[in-house]
Amino acid sequence: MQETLTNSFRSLGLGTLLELGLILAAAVVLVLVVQKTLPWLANRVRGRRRYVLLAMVPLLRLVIIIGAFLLMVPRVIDPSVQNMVAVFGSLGLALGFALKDYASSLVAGIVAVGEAPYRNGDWVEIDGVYGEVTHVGVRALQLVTADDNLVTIPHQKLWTDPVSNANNGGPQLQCAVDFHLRPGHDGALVASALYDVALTSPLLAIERAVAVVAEEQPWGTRYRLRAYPIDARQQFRFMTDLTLRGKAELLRLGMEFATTSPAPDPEPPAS
Amino acid sequence: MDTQDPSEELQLWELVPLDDYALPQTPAARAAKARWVSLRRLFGGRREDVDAPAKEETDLHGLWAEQRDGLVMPIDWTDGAEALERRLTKADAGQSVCCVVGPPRSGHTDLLECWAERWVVRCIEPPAHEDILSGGRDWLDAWPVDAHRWVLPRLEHCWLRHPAGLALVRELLERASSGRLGRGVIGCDSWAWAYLRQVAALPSRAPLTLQAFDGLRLATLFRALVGPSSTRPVCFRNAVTGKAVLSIDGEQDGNGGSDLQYLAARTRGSVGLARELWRGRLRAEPHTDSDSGDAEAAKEEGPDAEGTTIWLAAPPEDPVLTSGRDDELALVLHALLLHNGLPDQVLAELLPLPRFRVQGVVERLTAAGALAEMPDGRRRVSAAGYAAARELLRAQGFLVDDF
Repeated sequence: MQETLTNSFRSLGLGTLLELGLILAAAVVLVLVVQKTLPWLANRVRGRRRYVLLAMVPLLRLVIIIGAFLLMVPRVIDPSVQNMVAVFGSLGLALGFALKDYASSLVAGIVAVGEAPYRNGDWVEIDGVYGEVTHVGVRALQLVTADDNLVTIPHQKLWTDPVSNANNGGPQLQCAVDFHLRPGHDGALVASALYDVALTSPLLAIERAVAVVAEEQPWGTRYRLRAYPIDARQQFRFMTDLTLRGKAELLRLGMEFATTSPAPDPEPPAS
Repeated sequence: MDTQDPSEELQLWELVPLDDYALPQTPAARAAKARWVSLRRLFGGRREDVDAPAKEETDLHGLWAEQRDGLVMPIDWTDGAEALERRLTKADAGQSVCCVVGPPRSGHTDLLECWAERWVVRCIEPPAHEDILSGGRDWLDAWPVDAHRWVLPRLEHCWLRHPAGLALVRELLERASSGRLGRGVIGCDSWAWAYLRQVAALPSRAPLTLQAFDGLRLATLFRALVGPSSTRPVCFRNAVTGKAVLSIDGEQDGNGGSDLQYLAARTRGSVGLARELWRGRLRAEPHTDSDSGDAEAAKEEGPDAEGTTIWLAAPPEDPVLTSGRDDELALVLHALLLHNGLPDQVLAELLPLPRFRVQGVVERLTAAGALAEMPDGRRRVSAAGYAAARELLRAQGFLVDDF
């Protein structure tokens, strides 16, 4: 086996080493250019074009890496089937034992580019962390949360954890804000008022649906207002706007907000 | 106007259903240049004019207000009002209310006011902002239902984008559609119309609009706007290219070519906007003081072209409106366009921004030439800033008008 492996490799002269170095350098430069240029350009346009540009980054990087790999392999080993099986089999075995998790993340990274459960610019929740995907790397992705924290999550999570994607490559995502009112009010009036609160928000994507969902609770009624902001990045501002103006409008209409905790279950009658 | 024949007038002022509005197209060369400039701006470049202008801007001076008034008189809407009356008479059977929609500064409000004056129709002023928000119905209850006909030229001033600002206009539209208000005409700005379509039940009848003014229509109009005080032939020349744009003489030759077509496309067919931009570009040479022609240019054009030469400065560059992450500019511009102008204090109430931030943005936009304060106290998007503002809002995914 060892002899087969040794025979598979070509003797590396100065010229070959130079070629390998050049291919590697070119690939690194191209990857850096792609990773810098496309996000820069994406931040200067709006709407779907921004998300298309951002999503192209990991795809192009994968293409560059595969291209560089295909150029380098024939310069290092004699590309016969026997040699390839021997070399990659050994490599796979070594990676499987020594760098199992790393290799798993690398493979998951390739799957992530293909299946696209998340792309740059998407708002996702993975393992309880919610934020905007700012970088899809080879091994891990990076999220920026609403608190402006940068969180790095290995692609490996893809195998075990659900990925909740709020906008799935588009510029818009649904936001929901809750209002809790005491019982004994005109529900139709509240629903109508909340509907208008959404329709008059300057941040609303008005062509998308607005919905008011009411749910009766022991302490009163919970109203959930669902609507879409124009841009996913405005979601927190949008939710704040809906909340503040919704509250003001409900107060103007004389509604009372539920302020107490749920009522305890009645005491069982004394026997 | 007096020299035109009726068939030409009819073509100039044509009221058509909104769906039939024919947006003027930008000449191909101009469109390519605009795309190139836009691309350069995207990459942070600045516009560079490599062509030497036929007349340096510094060699020219602006005209006095009286001179401008003589060369670009206010639009006489009488023919337009007659066209509207013909249209209403033709299609009025069984319909209680008709809507006339137009883009900002297109002049549809002036058209309706002229029509109201000419046919003695009751003109209704919009309610005060306080009345809109208070939820009262006094303004509606005082409607002159016994009037033969009425006109509400500014529907865009009858509502506010506020949770309490829609009830009045919904009630108004409901009463108007049901016929309880009698027969009337409602005028509305195109941006407000686009918004109200989403939040209120508009009359089912397709709204009318003034057909877009293309290059040919603008040429006809600008000839008609030259006052009777100009006894000599007038030639409007492009100061950049040196070419004649429009000649006003006995024969009325020339149709403006690509310059006026470009103006029509840039203003998206809005006649009022085109007039304002045309008026703002007028220049004259100091020594001629707009009374004598440019001899050399006139010789090139032949003996008929001798007379007064008015130079047209390069079209004003669009104000640079910060794009990208500066959402506050877009919010302010959108609110102003939806309401066709707002007083500063009302604007601040409608936006999810602190008052001082709104004031800061308004001042920045005003300094950049994108906003202008109107005599009625409202802040509006300026004629020079309209195209850039619309493009910014469209690019950012905001609701825009149909024009």
